[in-house]
Amino acid sequence: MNTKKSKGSGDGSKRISEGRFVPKSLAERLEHSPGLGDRTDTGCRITSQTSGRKLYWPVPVFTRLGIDTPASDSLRLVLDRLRKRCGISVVGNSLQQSLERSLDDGLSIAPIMVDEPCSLRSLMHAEQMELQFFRSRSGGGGGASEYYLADEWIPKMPSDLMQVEHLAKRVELYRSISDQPTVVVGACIAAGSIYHDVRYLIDSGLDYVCLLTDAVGGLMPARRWRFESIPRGIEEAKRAIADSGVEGFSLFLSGAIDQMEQPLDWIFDGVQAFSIDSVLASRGPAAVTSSASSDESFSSFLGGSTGYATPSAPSYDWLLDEADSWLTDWSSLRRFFMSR
Amino acid sequence: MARIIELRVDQLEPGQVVHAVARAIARGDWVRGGADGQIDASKLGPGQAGTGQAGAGQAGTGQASGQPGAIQQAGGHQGEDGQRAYSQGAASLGASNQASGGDDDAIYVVLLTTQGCDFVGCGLKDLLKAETGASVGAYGFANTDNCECVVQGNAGDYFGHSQVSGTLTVMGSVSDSLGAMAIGGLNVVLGDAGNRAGVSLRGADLLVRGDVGSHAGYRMESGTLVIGGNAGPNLGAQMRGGSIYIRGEAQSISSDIEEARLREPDRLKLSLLLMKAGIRASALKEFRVYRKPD
Repeated sequence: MNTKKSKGSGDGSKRISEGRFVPKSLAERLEHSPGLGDRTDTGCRITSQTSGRKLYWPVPVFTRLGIDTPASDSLRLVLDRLRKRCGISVVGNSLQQSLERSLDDGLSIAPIMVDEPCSLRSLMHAEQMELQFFRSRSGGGGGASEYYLADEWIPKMPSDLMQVEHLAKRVELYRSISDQPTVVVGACIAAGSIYHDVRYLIDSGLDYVCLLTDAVGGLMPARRWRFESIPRGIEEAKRAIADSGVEGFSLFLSGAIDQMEQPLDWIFDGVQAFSIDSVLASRGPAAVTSSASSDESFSSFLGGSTGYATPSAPSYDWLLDEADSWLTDWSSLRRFFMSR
Repeated sequence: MARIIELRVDQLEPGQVVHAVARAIARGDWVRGGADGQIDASKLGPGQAGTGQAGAGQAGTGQASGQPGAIQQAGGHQGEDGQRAYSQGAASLGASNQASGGDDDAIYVVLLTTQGCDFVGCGLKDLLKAETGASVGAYGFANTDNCECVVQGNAGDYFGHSQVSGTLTVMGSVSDSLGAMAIGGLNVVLGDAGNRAGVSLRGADLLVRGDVGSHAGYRMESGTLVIGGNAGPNLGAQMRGGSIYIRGEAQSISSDIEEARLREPDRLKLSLLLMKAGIRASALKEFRVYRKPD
């Protein structure tokens, strides 16, 4: 596993300079509403290949912070607000199941740890489900509180499944337990043997794959891992999708964003949605607080000592402002350019 | 007053049973005791349920609910349209009510299914009893919690997957991967089980009265697998914890486990499981126990 920090590639600006993206003409701009704050034209639709259902995302952006980091209640609360305020979809168990939903809200994506006992009741009202093909650890209590080993994004197959058909049946179970049998179900894999993994997932009847080329673990301080180069990951996944002959299979990407233009490039390459975790991690108050209070310092041997003052719970409110700010900038950039 | 719900689940999406049960409870769709409409569940007693149904009057003659023996006593398997099973179930409930002194919150669900329907009873929770009148397909009663569930027939792959607690009983045989990833409760099969029984078991107790196929206890982490008959090849392959009790012979035993001495706690555990399953514990000495070496 390559754990090097990502470095700037400059691909986005390079491709823009190569003419891959061109600004919209004035005539085209006149046809559209000039409301700069309006993000409705930047949404995306995820298609379920089995049911044909189209699931609308207000913005093609998601975050995995709720599942890739040791999630405290305060973080989950902020992620819920992030979902409502910015329209960003959130992978992770929601803290509160609100009945009030807006069309502009991001989706709450229910994670399913593939090698843990399934908690079907938590999936009954899921808007979208995502299988996590990583090593995890059950927190007990009926398998409801599952979490990652914080430092290990180790690829993992369900230990009770032996064939593709078995996974297909399992996916069918997840769909059928939902109150929406056409629910979109996808899978997240750490980039490894991408081609074969994606083919396997397509054959299992899933609707999309999320490629984890980079992971962010923890926010204060942020830690990042790189598993695979993004261009190669996208290329392999696209080749697998093309070879499978299945139309409408979606590709998500959780990769490091070094420049704002990069996600435009990904979307041009066929990625439906991407994660902004690396952006948020880079903008957090990590440098200031890395040696101070943090409830994520679980590896510290001082954590259980009673001789030290208990650190106060960190505030994640900065996430809202940073995400909103980045999203506004990116949406403007996206509106400015159009692909050929 | 105990309450009974009758659901014809073959008209539903397979996994929608749990939603249908919730809706029925919310609506107060308490029992219909046959074709004639509503009856008061509190008046149900042994032999009184299923008014107008042939054979119902003889069912459930005072047998304590919760024991497979009681179900067997109720007689009748593989109800063609499930109605007969319902009547038997209602009678069992009456017996249960008497035995328990009447539980105000007890809810009994009879699932009327066609043969081999997948995902029957998935996610059910906090029910006195759920019963099907026919065989079930894959993932029958998966992830149930605090329920006593009975299948009056055979069951397909992954029966009782991720079971949390309660008791599952299959009167016939089951296919592959019985009780996979189950974390608690007891899963009893009165017939045989297919390959990989107890695969990736996480703490539940499985009891198979007959034979099991290959790779029983595969990647098992904790819990107990009791095999009353013989086992196929590779018993206990990649097993990481838990115990396997076997009465018959295994075609081959994985090098990942080794035989341990059957001690008093093992006998107590076996007795308890057999008693819960309604099986006479007369041959405890014939069992051998296998575990992962220390």
